[in-house]
Amino acid sequence: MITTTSMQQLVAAVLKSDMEAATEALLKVGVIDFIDVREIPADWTSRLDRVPAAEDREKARELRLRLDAYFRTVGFTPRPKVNGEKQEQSQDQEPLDLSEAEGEIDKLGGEFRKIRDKQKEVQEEILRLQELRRQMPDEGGRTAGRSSAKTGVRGEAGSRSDSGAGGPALTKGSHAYITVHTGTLPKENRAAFEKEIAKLPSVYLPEQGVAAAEGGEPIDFLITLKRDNSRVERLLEKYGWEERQYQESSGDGQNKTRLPVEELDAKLESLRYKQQELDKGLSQTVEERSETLERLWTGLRMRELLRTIQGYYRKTERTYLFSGWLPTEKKEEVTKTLMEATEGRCYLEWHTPHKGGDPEVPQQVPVQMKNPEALRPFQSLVENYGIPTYGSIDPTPMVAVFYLAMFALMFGDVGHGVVVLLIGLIGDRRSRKKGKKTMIYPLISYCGAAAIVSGALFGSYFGTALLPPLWFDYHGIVAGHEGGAGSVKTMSDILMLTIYFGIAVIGTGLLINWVNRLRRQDWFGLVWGNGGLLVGWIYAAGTYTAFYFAGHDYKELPEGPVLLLLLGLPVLLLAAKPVLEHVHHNRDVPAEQRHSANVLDMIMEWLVELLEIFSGYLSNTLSFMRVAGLGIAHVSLMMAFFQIAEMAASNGNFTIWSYLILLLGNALVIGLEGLSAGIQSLRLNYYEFFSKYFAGNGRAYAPISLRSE
Amino acid sequence: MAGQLKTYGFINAKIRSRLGQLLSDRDFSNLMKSSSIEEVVTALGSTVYAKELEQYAATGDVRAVEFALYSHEIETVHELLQYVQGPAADFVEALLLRYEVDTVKNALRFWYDRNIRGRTETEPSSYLYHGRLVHSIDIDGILNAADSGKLVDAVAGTPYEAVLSRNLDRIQNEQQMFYVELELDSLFYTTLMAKTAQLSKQDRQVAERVIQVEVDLENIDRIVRFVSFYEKERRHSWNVFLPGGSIDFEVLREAFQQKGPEEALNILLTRHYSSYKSFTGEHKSNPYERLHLVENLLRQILSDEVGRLLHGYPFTIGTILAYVFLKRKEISQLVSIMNAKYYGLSEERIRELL
Repeated sequence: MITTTSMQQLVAAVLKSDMEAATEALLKVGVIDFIDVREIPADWTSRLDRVPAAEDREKARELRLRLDAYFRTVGFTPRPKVNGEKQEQSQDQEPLDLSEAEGEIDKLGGEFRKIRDKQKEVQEEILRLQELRRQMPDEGGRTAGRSSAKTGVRGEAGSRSDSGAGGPALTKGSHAYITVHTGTLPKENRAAFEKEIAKLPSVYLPEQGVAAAEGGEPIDFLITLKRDNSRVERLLEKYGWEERQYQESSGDGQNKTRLPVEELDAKLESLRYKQQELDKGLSQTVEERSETLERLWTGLRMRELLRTIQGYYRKTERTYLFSGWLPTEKKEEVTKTLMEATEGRCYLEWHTPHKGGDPEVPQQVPVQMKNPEALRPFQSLVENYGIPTYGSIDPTPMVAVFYLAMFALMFGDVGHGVVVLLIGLIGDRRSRKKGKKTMIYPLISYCGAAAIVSGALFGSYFGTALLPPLWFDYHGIVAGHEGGAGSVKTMSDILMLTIYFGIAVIGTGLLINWVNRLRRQDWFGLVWGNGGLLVGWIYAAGTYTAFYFAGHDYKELPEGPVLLLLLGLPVLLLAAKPVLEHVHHNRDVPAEQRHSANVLDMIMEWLVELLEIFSGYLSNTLSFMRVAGLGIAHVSLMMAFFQIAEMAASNGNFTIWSYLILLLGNALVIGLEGLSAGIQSLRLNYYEFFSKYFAGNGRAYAPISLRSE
Repeated sequence: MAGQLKTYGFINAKIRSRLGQLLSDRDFSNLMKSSSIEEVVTALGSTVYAKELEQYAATGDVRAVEFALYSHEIETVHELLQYVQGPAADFVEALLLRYEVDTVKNALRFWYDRNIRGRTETEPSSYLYHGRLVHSIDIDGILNAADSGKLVDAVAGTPYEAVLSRNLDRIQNEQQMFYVELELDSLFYTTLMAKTAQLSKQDRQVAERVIQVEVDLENIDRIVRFVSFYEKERRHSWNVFLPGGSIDFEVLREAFQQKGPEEALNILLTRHYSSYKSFTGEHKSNPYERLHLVENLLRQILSDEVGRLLHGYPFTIGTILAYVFLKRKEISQLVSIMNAKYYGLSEERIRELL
């Protein structure tokens, strides 16, 4: 946790006959970050041959991606079998035949297509009915789905309908765009007729009404679009439709036959349900054969990764050589696995990276940061900036402390903190449910919790002083009621607090830099380097001098000899830097590349660096005053909203408007200030803290395993 | 300048933030490589089009997705309209007119197919945009018009009324939709140019540059198409050109009167786009290939102009124009890829077609 994980480099040789078994075993362990053997800085590697690229890798990848697409469509996540009992199972698996796999995937694709085609058919029917539904008046006589209608043209249908009991009346004759037919159809023709008429936007309701004459026998209703009249007429004639008058309403609206709006809506609903069921059918298709498909997926992924791994191999006539990095703690497991897979017929060589050590170890060592799960959100902040150098201090715990402290100082309010915490927790739960775990929500939750703590310290609860502050009254100070019980009594005190905090952050950054350089045995950098001991000395001396000056009413500096020792000496020592660099350069390069010293250049370099140190560190420290600035803005905004709410009050009592203003004000402060505080905390970490020690030029440890992306 | 800043400050920031959401060339390349439409749909599931793509899961119908994407495009322009005022708003509204003209054309074609050509199998009219764009149009009135009188009634009080009235006779008696479609296209570009003329000088220059190339592209395409498919005598009296381009009408007419597409293209390349003549003449012998090349060239010019708009002074109508152009291009490519995947076209074939 303090430093990056200790790594070991494995260089191994296996017999040609054991190559496949060894590769498969390594893939199952899944801890090796492979490198090309030729990256090893040794002469012997140039004599090795490349392993020809396997043709089936691309095919396996293509098939796996196809399968992935079908899985994602139905939200199915394959679980590769890599450990324990499951591992045994997969070992027993027969080798994957790619053409058989392709056939299986084609079959799955075909079934998907069949379901989609069925869905399309249902959709066609929905569209036809929707079109008809659009032309039917709703309750009250309005036609549905006519946002762009000009009422003069489109109101016709509605105007002719009568809203009888529960809906518009079905009247035979001319609506704007629909035609209502009433009559009878020979029963034996109904089925064929229904099939034909369903190809058009239509509703056919057999025996829905009562005929006006001939003893009131039941009659059928048919509703179609006017534009289809000629086609409908042909069909009616073909199937023996007899037009009949139906029983008109009695005038009181009791016996009217209504347009079948509800029936149509119900039919549309049932078709939509059918669509959903068909969509679910896709999931069933996958689930029914999930075991086979999962095995297929694992087989394809394994083939793809095996070939990827083998792409790193080099070979001689009878052996294969490979190399890669792994965490030291996994060394034994890998040794055991390889020995078992090859039945002891392998040669393993382990190398430890350290400066000035093994010359056959490549310079770039992959970096693994190993932090507890709780610190992962902050690790992602570090990774977002860059990967630390191998062996250096992992800044994640420090980032967690500083980030939350800064956020808490800028956003101290229990109520707001609770809201932020809830947003974080709900967001995290939802993202987990969706299977898309993200670090942003846990980070938001942490920020909320930090705001709750600082809110209690400042006695702020949604901008009100519900309980007395545990530390100091932030609101009171900003409102001008200076004094109070805490150690912080004035605005200057708040500003000073953030400056002290800034000094602590920068000091920690310098300290980490010195430890990192010590670990790398970079002695020159430790003393003279960027953020080295001399720079630290100057910063400490400058800080002391500034506080001394301020402490003496800005009238007096420390004594001359003290000042000379504090600032003069490190400044003079820093002048040696360009000289030493020149000496180093000339010592390390061949004679023809050496150059003579230019004193003027050296002086200029020294002066510029001094300027950079003084102005840079001064601005870095003062930069932390933004923490106070944003904290004050947070308090001020809340005060402003309370004042506006008071303006909306009546006789000193808050009205509904006052509460609305407070609600919106709080929401605005949470959104706006929360975002600002989050961004500023990140900015201060990245630019004021990381710039003191963080190179960010490391390479992340990326082992090849079945779980890797 | 302060006025420009005030007019475009907010919308510029809004658009800049959205530009990052546009799909990259790499995204498109990956989509083209997809093996199935399901893969395209899942790949787009994490983009701004996720909601539109859900239509495929809900309906299994590519046309439903196509319509949802088209509606998305319209809503994008609609949204931009909320953030501008005055002549800039009029200009954005004129951009919306493109979609309205397209919708009217499609509705008319639907009516024409059923009522004049007697076809009963037509595309579902539900995939026509029914929301209000610029004018109040009764789309259902067009689709269901019993006769030409009702057809005109459906667009009464809009600029389409006059266009339709003028062309009814040709639609009904000559069975030609061609003239009315030409006039509708011209209506869009005439309106757009009129709104462009009301913009500030800086905006006007920016907008005209892009519109001119777009109109030129359309006019050249029309000339070569018509010259290829119709006899010289037949097309003698036709006026197929859109207003607002940079090519002189005389040159367009001269090219249009040529016997074959190669001659027409030569006139255009000699008299107007002379800098591209050598580029096309030597490399391709087939006039269609040459046309394809010229079209690609003009498209490239258009894209370059749009790129310039985005990298130039930000507080002009150019940012809006560029964004609308890029969004339209993106959606058009997406629709093409979706359809291509639906019909099982290979990656290479899609690349050729795009």
